[in-house]
Amino acid sequence: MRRTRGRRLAGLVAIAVLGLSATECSAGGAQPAGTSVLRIPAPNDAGSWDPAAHGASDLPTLGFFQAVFAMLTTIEPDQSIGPGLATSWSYDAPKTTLTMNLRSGVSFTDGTAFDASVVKQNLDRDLAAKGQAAISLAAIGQVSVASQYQVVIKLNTPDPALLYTFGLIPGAMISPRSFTAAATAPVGCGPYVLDAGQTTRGSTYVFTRNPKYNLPQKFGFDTVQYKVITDTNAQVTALASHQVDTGGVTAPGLASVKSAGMSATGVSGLIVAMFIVDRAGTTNPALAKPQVRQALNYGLNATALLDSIGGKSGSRTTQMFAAGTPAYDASLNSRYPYDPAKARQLLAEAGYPHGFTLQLPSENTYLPALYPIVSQQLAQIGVRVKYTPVSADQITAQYLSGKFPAFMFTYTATQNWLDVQSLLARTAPFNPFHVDDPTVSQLAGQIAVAGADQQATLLKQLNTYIVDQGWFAPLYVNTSYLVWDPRKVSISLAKSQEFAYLYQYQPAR
Amino acid sequence: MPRFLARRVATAVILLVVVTALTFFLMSLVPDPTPAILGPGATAAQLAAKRHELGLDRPVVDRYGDWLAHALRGDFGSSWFSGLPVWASITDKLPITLSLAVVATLVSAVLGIALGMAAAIRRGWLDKAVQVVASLGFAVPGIWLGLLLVIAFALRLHWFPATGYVPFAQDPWQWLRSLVLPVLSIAVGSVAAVAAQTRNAVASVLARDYVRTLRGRGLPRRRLLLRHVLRNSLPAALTIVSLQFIGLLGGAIVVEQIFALQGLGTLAASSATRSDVPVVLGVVVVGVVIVLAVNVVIDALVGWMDPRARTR
Repeated sequence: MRRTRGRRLAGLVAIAVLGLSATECSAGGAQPAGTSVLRIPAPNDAGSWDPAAHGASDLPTLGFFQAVFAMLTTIEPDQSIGPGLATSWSYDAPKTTLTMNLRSGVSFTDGTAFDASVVKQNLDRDLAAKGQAAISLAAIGQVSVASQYQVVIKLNTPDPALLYTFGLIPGAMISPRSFTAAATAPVGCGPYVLDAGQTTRGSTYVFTRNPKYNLPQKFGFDTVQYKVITDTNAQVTALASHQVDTGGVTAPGLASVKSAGMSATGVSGLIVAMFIVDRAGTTNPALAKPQVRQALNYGLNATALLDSIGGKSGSRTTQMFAAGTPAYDASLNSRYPYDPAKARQLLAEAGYPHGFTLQLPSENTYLPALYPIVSQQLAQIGVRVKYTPVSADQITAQYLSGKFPAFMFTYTATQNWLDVQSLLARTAPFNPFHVDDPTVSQLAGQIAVAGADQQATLLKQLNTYIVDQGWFAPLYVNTSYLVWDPRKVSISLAKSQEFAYLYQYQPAR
Repeated sequence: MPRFLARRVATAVILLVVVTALTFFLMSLVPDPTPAILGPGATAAQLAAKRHELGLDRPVVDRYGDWLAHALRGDFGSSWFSGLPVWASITDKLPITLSLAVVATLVSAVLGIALGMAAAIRRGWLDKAVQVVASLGFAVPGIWLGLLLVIAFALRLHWFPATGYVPFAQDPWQWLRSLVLPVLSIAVGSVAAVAAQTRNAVASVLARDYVRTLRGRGLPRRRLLLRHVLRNSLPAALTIVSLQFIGLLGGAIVVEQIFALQGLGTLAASSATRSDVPVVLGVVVVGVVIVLAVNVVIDALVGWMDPRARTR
């Protein structure tokens, strides 16, 4: 009798397990038959839907915004600027007045018509909000409505990256009627609308086609699902189990997703470098000498570090600009081969034949294995590294506070002018000692007002100067991988792209 | 009983104020979060304006007073980073963590009490087996087990989803499926703890004189076990179940990461890491309220089962 009851219980458990496991259906609810669905993992939550709260550098959130909002411009895969809500534009000669002609016949999902007044209201609001968008749009002095479909934007200083920034979140236009609830209820004129019924805020965001969308850019899928997956290992398991159709992985996860039938292409990722920021010698006089900074470049065995720390997934670089962008010069990558003898010679020429002590911060979250090897390598040329531990939540604040003369860090290169403003300018955040170099200032001034061809030449000159002067000691640029399910998705990336824009995902033929 | 409950609730309110005050003052010691809020491109003037806007240039006691006054009206403010209302962020995440903790606790309670009772009553090989399994359950790290479960049941057998959460209201069946692997990976240790505690409590009650007397008077075995042995053993088991529930709430973060469940643990970790004070305080309040509520319920249950407990 007891045995029969046990068997019955075991049978019930088996039925429950089989029943639970039998229903193979993706989380997030079923989709209507005959529609194409794209499921993308998002490395972070969408957060606020208010564009004023996001800057140009907020790339992980961009996909959410590209789904529901249209931007003033479009960033093409090769980083050139194409039309968006603005169809054409022109600068005056000093590049301080930008006139933009806008698309007519566009309306927001709440019925509000898009026009020049909407652009003015959006940009004025972004600037007044004093959030991250205001910082990205800081060059804007005044926005005025010239006609129903033309705005004139007066700039305080020329900003060669402004049209690029307009293709990112700060360029997203929202309906003025949604200003008060902008953080929680997105109202745009983009290709999709947020399906609140299918969306679980913070976990899964479902977008369905916006029937009013009439911009020329084509989006291939009927439904887009963003699944928030913050953990990189969880992203790999979601890809390997086909819970998502595309995503990014690093080298360790590649084999797992490829064995699940995913296609992959390598994309340039983070640049790992020593940022030699005290170039005026304020806290460490040795670093004021170019020979010393060059010696650090010669003294670091970047190839060995790439092999041991970077898992051989990446390539050697000596520059802080992304491959494929105008400033990048492949020939510069042979400028600093590993040469400790040359490094010691340069130190001696600079007046440091016995080396010097270098105070660096260290952390145990991002590059923990790097620090002991760097100190060993630099000890070979006489540079005695002393580390000060910094907690993970304080890394950016401490590194950019001017407390340390140099630091090991990673950098994501984007658009050349944004990189110049971020790394090289006197007020750049990665220039915490506010070093003002006349050559850099002069070249940056010329780049700001130059035409496209001349700009590329000047950017290369600037890059060459920085590399020669040893402002940084870049080691390598990581390779990560964009993967996708070839049965469902087709993607084509340009050489310099680090991630795909939403419009680049098309259904597989 | 009402006086007993009123005393517990009053203690809970005092504790809530003390814990939030401590959290607030501790969070005020962390470095200025405004550079992280505005990003590396912010100027000194922009940073100063943001500090003023957030009230960071005011004395910490004033700021806590303000926060408490708003919190008492149900207004927990907005995230310093996303600008989203704290309460909305919490209510988005709370069902995920509560689902995980409640289901894991139910599994732990049912399996743990059943195994513990069986071991204490049957003794012999079953008792030894339960003790070995309980030791293993204590020893197996949830993170390791979670990864193994994903490989076996999601990647190889495709029985359960590897990641993600489906709300109960959207699809109860998928909700249950999305919880199976996360619950298994965190419940193993709790089952072991509850089983060990229940086994000892039942064994101790079975050895009491009154049980022998009742058995000698011919009381049916089922009635003896359920009415007398289980009822007198349950307070100890319930206490350990409540402790496990609280532990599961706190320990959910690891499982939330493995299974990409965007729950309260993940929110707590991300907001604490970037010093998002309003969100941290909101999470602390919710956490403390849940813990206190569980304690009050358990105290009431134990008091109901054992009248002596009401006077303690």
